[in-house]
Amino acid sequence: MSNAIEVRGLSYRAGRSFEISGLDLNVPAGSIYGFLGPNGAGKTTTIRLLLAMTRRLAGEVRLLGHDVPREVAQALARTGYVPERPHLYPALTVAESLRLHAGFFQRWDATWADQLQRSFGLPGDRPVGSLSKGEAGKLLILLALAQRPELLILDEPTDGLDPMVRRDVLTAVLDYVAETGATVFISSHLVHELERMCDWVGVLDHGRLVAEMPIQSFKSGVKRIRLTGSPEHVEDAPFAVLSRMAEPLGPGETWVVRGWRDPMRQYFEGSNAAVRDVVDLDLEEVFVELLRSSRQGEV
Amino acid sequence: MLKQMLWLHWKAVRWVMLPLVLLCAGMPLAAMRLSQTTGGGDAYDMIVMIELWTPMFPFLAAFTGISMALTAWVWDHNGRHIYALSLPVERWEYVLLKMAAGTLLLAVPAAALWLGAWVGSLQPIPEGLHAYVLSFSARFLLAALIAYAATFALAAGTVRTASVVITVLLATVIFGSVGVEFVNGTFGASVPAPLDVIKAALTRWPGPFNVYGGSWMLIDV
Repeated sequence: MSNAIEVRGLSYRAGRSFEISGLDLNVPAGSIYGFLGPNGAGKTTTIRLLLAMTRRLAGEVRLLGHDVPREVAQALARTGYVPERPHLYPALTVAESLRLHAGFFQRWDATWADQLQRSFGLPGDRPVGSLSKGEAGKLLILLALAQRPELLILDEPTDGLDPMVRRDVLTAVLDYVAETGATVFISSHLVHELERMCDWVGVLDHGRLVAEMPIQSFKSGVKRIRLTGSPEHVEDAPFAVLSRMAEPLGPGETWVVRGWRDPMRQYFEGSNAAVRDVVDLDLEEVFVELLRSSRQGEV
Repeated sequence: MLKQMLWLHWKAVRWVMLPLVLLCAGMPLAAMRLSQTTGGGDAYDMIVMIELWTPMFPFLAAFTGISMALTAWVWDHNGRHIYALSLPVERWEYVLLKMAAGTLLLAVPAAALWLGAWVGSLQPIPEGLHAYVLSFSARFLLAALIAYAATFALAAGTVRTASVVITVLLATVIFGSVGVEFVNGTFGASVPAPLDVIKAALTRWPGPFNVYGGSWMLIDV
């Protein structure tokens, strides 16, 4: 499978406090790739680097096979972008914003734009500056979708939106993907939201990619294991121990491990402990454990 | 795309342009009327009177160009240029389109000036004098364009870029002047001051600001 986005050794620095160093990303074509990370992890900066909106220090970026920044205009013609904050001209009305945008995109689908505008309930005569946060969010998605992109780059598109609007926005995106097979690169810190729609996930923390894998591997490989005792050594474990905590009430420990398979139960034999139960974690729990362990330098 | 850019530019500058258009149409008209009324039909008096108005027109041209250029970039600066950067056009092409749109829109105040001057010139002018409506308007357009282009170039960058450019210019002038003063005083040389050199380069032909000097006479022999 080819990649819609390929990043190699991307580096960037903003003052002394923040840097992205040697970032590699592979977003398979046709996938919905969730770009997870806590606030301040560098998700927005990475997206701006992908679109050549910010100048990088080093590295290579290819969007839909186009070398960025050299061929960024060609890449943008095939890419729908929804930024973190509304970026449209506030004095233009909704209808004027649509008309302006349409003029720049050859594949603009005016009929569909009208349909989306009606289904989103966006009044054409209202200035963009007077739209509510939810309406502005819908307009941004409309603009990105109606240009019929092969790649959608969505930077926290539902952040701060109410559940109704969030559902409208995500439904529109998923309908479009189902129809066209477009690739979606969506950043968010709302883990539950991505869990339902993504098939690939990348986790960024402090400008560093902590994990990148299909979401099933991501979820199924990480388990919470409750043990009856306290094993004394874990150096040669066939899995990665992300965290280890003593049970608050009574003997035993709780471990969060990565790369777990059931035959590994025998690892604990003769170690003064046994596996009591193995629990699947949801994406948010995996995300938290992953960040915790990455910050402790354990992964 | 020029159509879109022209329309966007119009939306951005229209409220600034409206008073400018009124001013551009009104000033030559007022200059002609008042010069004729005060001059009492005498050619010499009329020339003297119209000369009093002359310095105002280069200022009006500069003001028109500067305000149009600054207004053109306000929306982009407020949105941190994200919208423009997300469009599928090369950066140089976007700037060129914006520049071209602004240039075309500058024709509106210039046309208003021409109209005001033309209406003013319809009334009887003392014998031996001529109204140079077209050349006067063309000079205005050129002067406004130069102010527009210079401000546009400065405003297109970030505040940091503009600050660096201005700081370098000021540093050159200040430290250059001190250095030249020292060299001239110590070695008896006659090196011209940097400010004079820059001023001469900009305002003397073929310097770009040469158009602001010279004759801005709407009525002349």
